[in-house]
Amino acid sequence: MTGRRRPDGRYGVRDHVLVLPSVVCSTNAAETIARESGAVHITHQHGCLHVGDDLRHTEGALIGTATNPNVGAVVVVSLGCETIQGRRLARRIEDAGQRVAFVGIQAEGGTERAVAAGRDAVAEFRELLDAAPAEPLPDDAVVVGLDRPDDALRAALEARGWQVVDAPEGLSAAESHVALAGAGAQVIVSLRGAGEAPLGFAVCPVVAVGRDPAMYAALHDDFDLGEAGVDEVVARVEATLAGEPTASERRGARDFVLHRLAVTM
Amino acid sequence: MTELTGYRRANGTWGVRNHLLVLPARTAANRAAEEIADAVEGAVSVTHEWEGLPGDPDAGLVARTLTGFAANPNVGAVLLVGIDDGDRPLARAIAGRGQTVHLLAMAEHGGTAGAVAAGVGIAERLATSIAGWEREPMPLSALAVGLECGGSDALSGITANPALGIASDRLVAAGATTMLSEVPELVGAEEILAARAINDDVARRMVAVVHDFERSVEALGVDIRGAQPTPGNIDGGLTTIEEKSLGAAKKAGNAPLTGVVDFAEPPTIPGLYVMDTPGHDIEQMVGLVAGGCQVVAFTTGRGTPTGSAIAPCLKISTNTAIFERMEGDIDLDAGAILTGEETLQSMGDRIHDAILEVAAGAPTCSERRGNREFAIRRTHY
Amino acid sequence: MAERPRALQLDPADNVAVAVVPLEAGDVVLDVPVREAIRFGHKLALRDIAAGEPILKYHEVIGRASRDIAAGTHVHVHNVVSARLPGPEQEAAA
Repeated sequence: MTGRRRPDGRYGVRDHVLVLPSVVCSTNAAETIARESGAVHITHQHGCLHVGDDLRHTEGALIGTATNPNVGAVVVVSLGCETIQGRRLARRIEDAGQRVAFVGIQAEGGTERAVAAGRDAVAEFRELLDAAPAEPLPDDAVVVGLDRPDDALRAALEARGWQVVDAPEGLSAAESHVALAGAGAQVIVSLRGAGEAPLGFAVCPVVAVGRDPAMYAALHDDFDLGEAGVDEVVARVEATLAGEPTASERRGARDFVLHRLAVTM
Repeated sequence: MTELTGYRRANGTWGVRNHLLVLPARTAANRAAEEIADAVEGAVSVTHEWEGLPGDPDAGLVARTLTGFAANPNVGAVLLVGIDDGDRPLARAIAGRGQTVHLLAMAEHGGTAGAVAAGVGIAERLATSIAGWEREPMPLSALAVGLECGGSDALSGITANPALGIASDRLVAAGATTMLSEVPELVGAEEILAARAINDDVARRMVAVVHDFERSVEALGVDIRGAQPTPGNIDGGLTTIEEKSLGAAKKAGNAPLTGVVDFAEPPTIPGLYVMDTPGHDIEQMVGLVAGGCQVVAFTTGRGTPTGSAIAPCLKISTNTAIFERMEGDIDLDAGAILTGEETLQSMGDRIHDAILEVAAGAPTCSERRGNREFAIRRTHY
Repeated sequence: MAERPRALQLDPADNVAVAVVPLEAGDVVLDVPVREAIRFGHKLALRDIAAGEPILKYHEVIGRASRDIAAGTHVHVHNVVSARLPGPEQEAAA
């Protein structure tokens, strides 16, 4: 298995350029940049009118996504007036050791100019990343996120020498994906229960395990596994680490559900 | 002057656009909805973070919002992309408002790929059927215009907002509806608005809705600056929430206040209203459109490109520098008042005329650029 | 031909005016000598304002002076607090 060694010593099993809008108002520009330059992006509704702990928490979630080791470089797209200031966000992402470019819609002079600047930034990053070699991926550099607890699965994953992180308490499984990515998980195992449909995540492959036979049958194409033993799940995780796309990646699912601490103002 | 035209829908409401909306019922359907809309000429979709988990205290609010949005008369038909039978109540609620809606359940198609294949076919048939709608002369009493400001600066309350207020007064006097929103940005202006209320009940509601918001903020015990006013507001010269609010309230001109409505609640008779929304640009826009606004008039000092997938959003800059700088994102420049090219009155008249032109079919910058921002309002976390 | 105003006093009762061009120390607007740079859209004091006094714009209270403000100087977040919603004192207390 190979991966991309990042400046901070962690390894990515994908090599994304992420176009990250710092606020809902720059999501259209971010999407246009990503579509036109083949990068990944997230769409969200946050970034403005947060207060107190919710502000810090939201900024932290965006930084966590941007600094996930599967992300080789980030283009932060900001409007300019928002509460989560784009420049500051970009600086904090850079301070965390990630490659960043900043595009401000107000600073550039409108959407069209911002999209052009963003496209250029993505192209430069893409060239840089493509020139870097893949390296052997050490087992102890692998971090697998579980969006709900499963002791048997955890033990089987750890037996491979991989680290396992659990979802924080109090979050929905979807909300936990943001937290797991922020904790450095390169692959997320999503254990879907009764009535639960599979989700994806922009920067991490999600292995969707359908433990509700009815849902697994009904949404078969969007799951990776049905009623599967831990060995099967581990094998699927290994294949994903080695580069095989998950169902979420094949369909381009990029769900981003953010847990918030307070309402917007 | 432009004659107002629109599409007279079966339920008696009028649309100024004729969109095919592909709407995900929950997050898990986002990707399928997006792919279907991408593949079908003229279809639009939105993306959102509503998971639809059981027991969510905001379920009613979200259902009302999605229903109202889908039922907006600017939408000729809705392809609701859901997962399974759990999404049938939403489809029924949309149909109950008199909207043409087709539910596509991903569970009947094996997942996203199958749903997209089927959905494209359905969407193409819906697109063909709504292509038959034609514009007719539309009464002004059927028009509802949202009044929004975003990326405000100190000039908002001096140029663009008062000019929009003149336009709003003209529309209301002629029998149309206009809707002010952003309760956090009316803190300090509530008494001025309450004094114009058509009766004591409306006056009381006007004051209460602002005081309730203030109490909720005090309960949080945080410094609200940075949220309200935003860093951009502050950089643009606005110092306090009251200053921002007094400027924001000018969008509502001087007309009597006919009522205060809940988030996404459509008013029953024409007039000037205040809708209870947060200050968040997109949450309020979704609320206004879900409450029936077919056009949004949006003033901005710092400049913002945002728009709605289903309603034209007319951007009016407060100053000429930003109008010139953000070429392609802003429609009108109220900074002309400062340069002397326009007076407040003549600018107000220009905005009034532009609203009608846009309603009659002229595209806004936000429509040309395909801005389709969407946000689910939450009251519980 | 009348010169275009460089600052606007929106109501005769107001104790601040809004600069509609960037102002420099030494400029005189509305008969008030400008004592420091005032950016476009920002406010200057039209008379001395004592700490605690209301700031009047549109003939409405937009806040209170948090310290003494001299005529002709910049009126903004460094010397004005909201009379309505929590500000820096809230976080300081937390």
